[in-house]
Amino acid sequence: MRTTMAGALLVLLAPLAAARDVPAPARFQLIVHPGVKVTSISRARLAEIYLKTRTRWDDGTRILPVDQPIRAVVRARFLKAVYDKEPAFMLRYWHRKIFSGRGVPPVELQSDDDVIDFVADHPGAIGYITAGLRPASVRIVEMTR
Amino acid sequence: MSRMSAACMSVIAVLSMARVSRGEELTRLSVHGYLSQAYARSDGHQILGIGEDGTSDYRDLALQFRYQQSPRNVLIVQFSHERLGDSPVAKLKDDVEIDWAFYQRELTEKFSLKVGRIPIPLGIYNESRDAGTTFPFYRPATGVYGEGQYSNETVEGAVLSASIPAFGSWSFDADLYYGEWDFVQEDFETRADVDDAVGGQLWINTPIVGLRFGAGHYRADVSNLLFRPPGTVAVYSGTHASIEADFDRWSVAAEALEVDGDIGAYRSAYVQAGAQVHPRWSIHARVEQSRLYLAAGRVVVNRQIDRDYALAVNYAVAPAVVVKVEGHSNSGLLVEDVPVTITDPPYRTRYAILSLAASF
Repeated sequence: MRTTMAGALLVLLAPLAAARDVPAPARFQLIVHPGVKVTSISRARLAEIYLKTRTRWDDGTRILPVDQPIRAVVRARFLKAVYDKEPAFMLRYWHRKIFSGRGVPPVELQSDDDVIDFVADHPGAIGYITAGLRPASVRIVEMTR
Repeated sequence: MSRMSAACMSVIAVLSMARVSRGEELTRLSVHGYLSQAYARSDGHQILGIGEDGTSDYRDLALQFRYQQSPRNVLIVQFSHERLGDSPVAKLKDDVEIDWAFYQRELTEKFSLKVGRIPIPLGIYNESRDAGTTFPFYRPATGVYGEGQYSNETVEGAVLSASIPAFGSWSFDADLYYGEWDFVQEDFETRADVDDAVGGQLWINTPIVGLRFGAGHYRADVSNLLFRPPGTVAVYSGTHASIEADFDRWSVAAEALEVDGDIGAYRSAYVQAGAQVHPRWSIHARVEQSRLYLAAGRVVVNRQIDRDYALAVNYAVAPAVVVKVEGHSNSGLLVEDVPVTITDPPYRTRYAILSLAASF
């Protein structure tokens, strides 16, 4: 069986010389519900919000983070900018949380428009969308270092 | 089902009857699940239910229902179905079992309390040990986490958890638990009872996301043990230490466990390392070793009972779908097809597992 395993490994590792994916530049913008009284959010605080280790705004309102699909380019950019991590890492993190009963990830919506509508409709909500959009129903906030 | 489980289920049933509209129920209910389906084969002896003829009756699946009754109250029930090939443990398992079921109350933003049948906070993997997309092999190291005999994944009782920010970007995750469980012994029939178990675990999260250190300890009264006079209650204690570095391109995990009982001690440790060599491909290696020390009357045994070298290749078909190929070279006393005594020389067995893991 040792020979068989070695052969299988060689076959499986053969395509690995292919080029790696090059991370895209960080281009997204944060949006919050109009009732959320912040103008900027630090990267560290944003990281806590999306890991759900920080659950309330400073005024006591419950934070409701909302995410984009796992394959969305804007999600990869967001994760790279905030955590310097790939989507697969965060998926593994949340699967561990889910299947240990310790928590569930932020709500996942399918598009920028869905995220904008959700954030506009839910007090305390925060989301991220593709840079350049200017929705009127939510407030755009800056991420600081 | 024990009285604790029955009480837990009653609480869950009552709380679930709180008045909410159908629409609210749908947004408050989340459903998750996982499946690991494998084909496994050994080159000789049967080990972990894997024989020379091969088996595809090797799977683990679960369905989890999480009901957010209010912002501070959560009810969680997870049902599981597990098959272990030809393992003698398989006959003790129902087709569908309640993996765990508990009510969780968020006491403050940093503290929460769980009551019911709860995954034991023990090491890196125990709480999510069957969710195949969260680790690179079919199962976590058997020496530390057990499989079938002398192991249990849940405590029936209460767990108090805290997540506490420390200085800078350091933080602590702590758990304290109290309760009871049982486990199957070496005859694959008799269950020992573990009562008044008290334990805790502390994780230190470093500013480097993915790097953390953990340690834990428990003590418990154990009764109905084999080869002891009826009525014997032994005090058992367990201590473990963990280190995990889980980064985008590579990962390392190492853990050690020691369990001290009335007639001896059990020690196990493993080191596991992996590299993401391509966005879809990763390779992993693991070495584990377990020793048993027994002192019963004039009989003293101090020997290695398990050593396992493993190599795995993972291919991510999709973010939550992974195919794993792994080979193991095992030396020890874990074989199941022959009667084994503690003085036997180590049995050498090689086995391979091909598995598909998916979760949602």
